[in-house]
Amino acid sequence: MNELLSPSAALREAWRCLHCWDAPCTAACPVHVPIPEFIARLRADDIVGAEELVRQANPLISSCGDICPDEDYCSRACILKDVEGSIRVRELHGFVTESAHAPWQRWKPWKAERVAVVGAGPAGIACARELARFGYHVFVFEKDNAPGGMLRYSLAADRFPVRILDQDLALMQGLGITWKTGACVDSLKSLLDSYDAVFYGTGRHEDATLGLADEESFLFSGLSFLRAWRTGSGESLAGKDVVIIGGGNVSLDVASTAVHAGAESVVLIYRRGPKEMPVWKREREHVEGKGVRFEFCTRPTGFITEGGVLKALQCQRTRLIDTGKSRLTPQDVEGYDFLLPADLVIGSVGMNASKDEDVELGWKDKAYLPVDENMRTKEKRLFAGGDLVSGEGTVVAAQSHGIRAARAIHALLQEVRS
Amino acid sequence: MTGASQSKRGPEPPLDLSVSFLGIELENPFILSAAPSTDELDIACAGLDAGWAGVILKTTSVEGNPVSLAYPMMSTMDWAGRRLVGMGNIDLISEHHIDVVEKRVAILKSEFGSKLIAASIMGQKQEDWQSLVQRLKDAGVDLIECSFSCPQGSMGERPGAMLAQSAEATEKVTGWVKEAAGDLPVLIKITPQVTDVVEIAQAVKNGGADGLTASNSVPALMGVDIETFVPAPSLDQYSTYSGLTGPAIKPLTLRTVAEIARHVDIPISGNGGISTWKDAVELFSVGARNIQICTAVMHYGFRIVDDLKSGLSNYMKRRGFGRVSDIVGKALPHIVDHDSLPRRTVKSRIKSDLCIGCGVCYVACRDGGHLAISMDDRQPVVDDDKCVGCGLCMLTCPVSDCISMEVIT
Repeated sequence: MNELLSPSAALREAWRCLHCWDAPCTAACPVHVPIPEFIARLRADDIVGAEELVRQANPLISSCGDICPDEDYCSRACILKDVEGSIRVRELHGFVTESAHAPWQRWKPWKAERVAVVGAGPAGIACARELARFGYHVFVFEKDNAPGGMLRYSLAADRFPVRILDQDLALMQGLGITWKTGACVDSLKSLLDSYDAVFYGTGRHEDATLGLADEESFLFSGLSFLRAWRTGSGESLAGKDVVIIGGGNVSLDVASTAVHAGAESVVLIYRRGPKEMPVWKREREHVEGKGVRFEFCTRPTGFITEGGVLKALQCQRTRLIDTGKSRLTPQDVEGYDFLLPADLVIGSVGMNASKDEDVELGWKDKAYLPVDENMRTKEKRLFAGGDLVSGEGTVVAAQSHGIRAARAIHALLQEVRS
Repeated sequence: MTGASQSKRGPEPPLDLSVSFLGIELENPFILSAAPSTDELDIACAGLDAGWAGVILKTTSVEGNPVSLAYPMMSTMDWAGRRLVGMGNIDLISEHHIDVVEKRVAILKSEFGSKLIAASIMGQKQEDWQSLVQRLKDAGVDLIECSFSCPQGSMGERPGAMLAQSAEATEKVTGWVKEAAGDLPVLIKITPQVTDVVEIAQAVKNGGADGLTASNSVPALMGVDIETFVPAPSLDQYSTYSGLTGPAIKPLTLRTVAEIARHVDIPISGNGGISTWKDAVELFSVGARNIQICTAVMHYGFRIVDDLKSGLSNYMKRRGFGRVSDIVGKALPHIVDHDSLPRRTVKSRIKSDLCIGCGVCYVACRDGGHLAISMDDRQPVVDDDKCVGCGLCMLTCPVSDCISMEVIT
């Protein structure tokens, strides 16, 4: 959860924007929020107009205003970055969306076609909103009891309060989208039979395995842990030493939640160094500030138990070797192994998709579902997006997939009609 | 020079910033103008203690001239997230009449013998003006300033008008004042709000004044609350015009002072919109011999005089000016009528190594200039055939010295 700028601080920050002619910030934003334009409206005290520009481009406006890693997108592209420091775009975005909320209204007559969206994560939500704006009947199928996907079930509560997501969803109520929650889709084939087009965005929900002996008994799933705490069924970790095997941003949420759960100690191990860790600097600093200890260049080798009870995680120190690959390769340092006391070991080294569709999508051994530039799969009327198709893993990137797919679906259905 | 030898010699002596004005020696050129900061004895003393060279006590009058103030009286012109780019005030002259002010003059004179202790007056009838002068003279005042230009209220010759908007009235009343003042220096404070300020300055000179103060706040409507449609400042459902001061009016003051200095041979005390030593140097350069300040003090306090003195000293050392008076009028030979300006060809030159690629110049030239700049892979390129040399690109560029205008012929 981010601190909001005060109105006077927001105004001064807004006035720093040069309003560059070609807006590299907008180009760097996956959903192309017209950044200089919304900032110009903000500084002219037209907050409603500013919010409108943001929300046209970005369906989950408040959510992105809160958690978007702008350091990877707009702020990195800001021309002032190396001159006097980037414009704090996300904070201005957050200021605008906190100050103004306009509910969506359906403004077109309904079209005859029906589109199914499978998975109500950021990709599916964005796709559904865009399709509803075109006038289609949109049916969203979500296996969980509420929409939101990773935003709702897999983020640390102090990083992203669910009420912000609910605020975004509430604004979409007037769009006439049919939300079918708690609805498992077993067959994409039958959906394709019943609907004119389908968007597939179910994400990745299976924690990657580590290949350690007794892993199924002693390795707790990071996603399950987060979900339990997000849904109010998390158990206290008071007095427990927790070790998290991680790397990405999700492992930071796990660590943060473990601290919140009252753990005696929380250690996050990662096989490469701090520079290689694929996480957002802001989030890492936040977690470090909460007392999480990082053990870099450390890889797990086994569970140490006593009478069937976990006591420690056996670890091996690594060093990073340049083998000519894009990333440095961790190599064991011989004779340098050690134990980390552990009552609970949580694995969070990546997520896999289930890949059990009844339509041939060409996964083969690929990590990501193959789609073309319009997010279309091998199947003509089936589009996909979000974590299924990319490892970018951000709300804004997932939304850009959903929006792109919605536009392609619209083009396809218009083509079919004529 | 090594640090050791420097410390043996001690710090360099402070630069002499003194100026002589109408026969009065000022320790530096910075004076507190007749305004809120000089309306109370304790506050005026604090200003002098802080290092200001003198005070002009807020304008006083005779008992027959009642002052009825309305509050709140101030308002702000904001821009780009900054407060008080301009300040509006519906203040009137001091509520302290001459019997209070004459006592204060005597006290200040005894406590601050080396400082300028001046008073500002305003009257209506000849006898008012002359008795005010006589009483202040008896109290030991160093200088009298006559407000011919308070734009607020209606104490001029006719309701809503200022004395200094009529050359005839200005000359006549100046004559009355100077008749009573005798050898005591008299300044007439004029307004920029006239058709021809030179005519008024000439009337001041003809009337026999020793100098003039140029100028004063500018009549303005500070803004309108677009929810209630009540302008600022709002007094219940009503408002009125304010006197605008602060950074917003500096260019007006520079022009007023320059115009007088170019055409009338009369000593000028500069006033209006000066906040920093740089502003002060600019105003000296167009002919002001000293600077009066109020709004910057109201915003940031008396302490700014240290910064004014420091900046001015450092500038003078760097430029080799021995006295402040060496700067006075330096810009005047460079001001000519438009007809006399040189006609030659200039072209925009953009330093690509400094350019950050924002394209602000491109948009400005495209929509407000002559379509002479195109963008080539984030670099602006000037088309000399289209560039007329207006200089807009140079002004809009956020990087200092990135764009300049090159003289071709």
